[in-house]
Amino acid sequence: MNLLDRSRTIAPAGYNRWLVPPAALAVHLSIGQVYAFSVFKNPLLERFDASHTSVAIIFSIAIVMLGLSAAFGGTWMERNGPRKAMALSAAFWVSGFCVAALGVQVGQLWIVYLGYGFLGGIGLGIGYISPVSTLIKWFPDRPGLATGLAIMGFGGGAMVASPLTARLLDTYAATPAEAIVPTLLTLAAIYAVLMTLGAVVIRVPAPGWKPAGWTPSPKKNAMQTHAHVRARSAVRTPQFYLLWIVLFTNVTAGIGILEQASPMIQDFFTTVTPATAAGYVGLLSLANMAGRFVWSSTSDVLGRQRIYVMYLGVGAALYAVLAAFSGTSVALFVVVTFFIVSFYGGGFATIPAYLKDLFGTLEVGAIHGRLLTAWSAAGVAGPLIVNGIADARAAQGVEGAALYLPSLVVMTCVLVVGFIANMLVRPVHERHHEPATTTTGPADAVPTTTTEPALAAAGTKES
Amino acid sequence: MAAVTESVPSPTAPSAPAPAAAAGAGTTIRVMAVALWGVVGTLLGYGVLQTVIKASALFG
Repeated sequence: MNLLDRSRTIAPAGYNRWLVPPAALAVHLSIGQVYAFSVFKNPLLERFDASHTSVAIIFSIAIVMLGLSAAFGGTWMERNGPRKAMALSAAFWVSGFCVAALGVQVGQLWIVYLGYGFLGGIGLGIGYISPVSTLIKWFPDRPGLATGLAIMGFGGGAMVASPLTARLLDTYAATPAEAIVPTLLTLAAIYAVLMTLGAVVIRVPAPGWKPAGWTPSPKKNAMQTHAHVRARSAVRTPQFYLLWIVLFTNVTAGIGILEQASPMIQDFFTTVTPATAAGYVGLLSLANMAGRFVWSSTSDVLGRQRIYVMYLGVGAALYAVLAAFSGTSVALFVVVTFFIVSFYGGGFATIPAYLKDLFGTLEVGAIHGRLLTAWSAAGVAGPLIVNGIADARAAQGVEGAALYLPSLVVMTCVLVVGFIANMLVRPVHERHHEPATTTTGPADAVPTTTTEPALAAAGTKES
Repeated sequence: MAAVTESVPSPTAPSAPAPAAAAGAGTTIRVMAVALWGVVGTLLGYGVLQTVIKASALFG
């Protein structure tokens, strides 16, 4: 296992930090396939002759396991380094596909739950957090850009997997239902190669490394600490729970659109055909991916709290506009939802940089992992709200845009709650900071220099 | 893509290989990383292109 050790991944002198993002992208492009799971839905329904709910459970298990494995595996990942985490993620993700293929072959849905849902979900969680803290340490001057680069890959993964899976399902057999097994195995082979390459290429910066010519600015932003907080201490701070609410509300509201995008636009406008609606879903995928990179990078300039003011405040206003006016114009509907979904993506990509600002880089990956439980919770809450309200309205005989209006109002309120939580975030109190003499974390952790406690004291008084 | 240089000397791992071998390994990993940029860039381009084609139906 020596090859997987953290010490074997320390970058040599003069290593170009721009050689690190492709390793992160390789992993995130692979695990981002989970957002394209819906391509398998109809073939699985046909193969198992099961209900929609029975098949949807596969995706739900995967998302829940993502949150749990990220939460419980974060500290392990920080201790063992990104290469070991990427290798473990690849092992779980690929074996998840193989076990799911076995389940389909023998006609046992529970084996598919175990494979793609349980095993694959663990691979998702470990893989999602594995490159994030490494990139933040390589780009301390542009953490938003760094996390945007990595997490953009997760959004892009579905855009690659969706057409690829559809092509494979059409190629391997007469019907997609008969082609599920070879398609799953082909994807497993592709992801095994891609994730292994990521694990091989990943490099962590040497202890004390900084970008040439860059020095941390003590008065740049009071929300940016130069101290470090351990994950076990971070979960005892109000800031952690406020950011949990921020992520939960942002994801819940985004899912409100993404979950129902195709039927929603067709119900709003009778002129929109299913083919046009599919184009609209594609446009939202682009918004999701672009938002991750563009907005997260912008947060390096605006500041993390301000960018979340935009995600949540402008997002709430856009939801209100959607509820009030967008039934009048297709163009207005498309533009408004484009920005809402771009904020959803931006929220995902910016949160690790926000955590880095508040808690430092020492265990930011582990803290990020714990925060991702908000994603799991939102993955359950968002669809429940939208589908629950839509079903209730439909039962009352309501049709068209009116079907969704209460959901849009609820999402506006959800975003307002997140907006308030974000405004309550203050710098973390010094009592949670690691003493300078004990910040001897992983090899790639930024060590606390003799000047940093003074900087921390100057910039992180709790209010 | 400006190159970034180390501000500290290169660390010496416990089982550090000889300098010549380390330099060779460093070159190999750089080549692999550049190649991986090509792979992920191509994949992302493929995904974006397919999605743009799909999205164009909205404006057709």
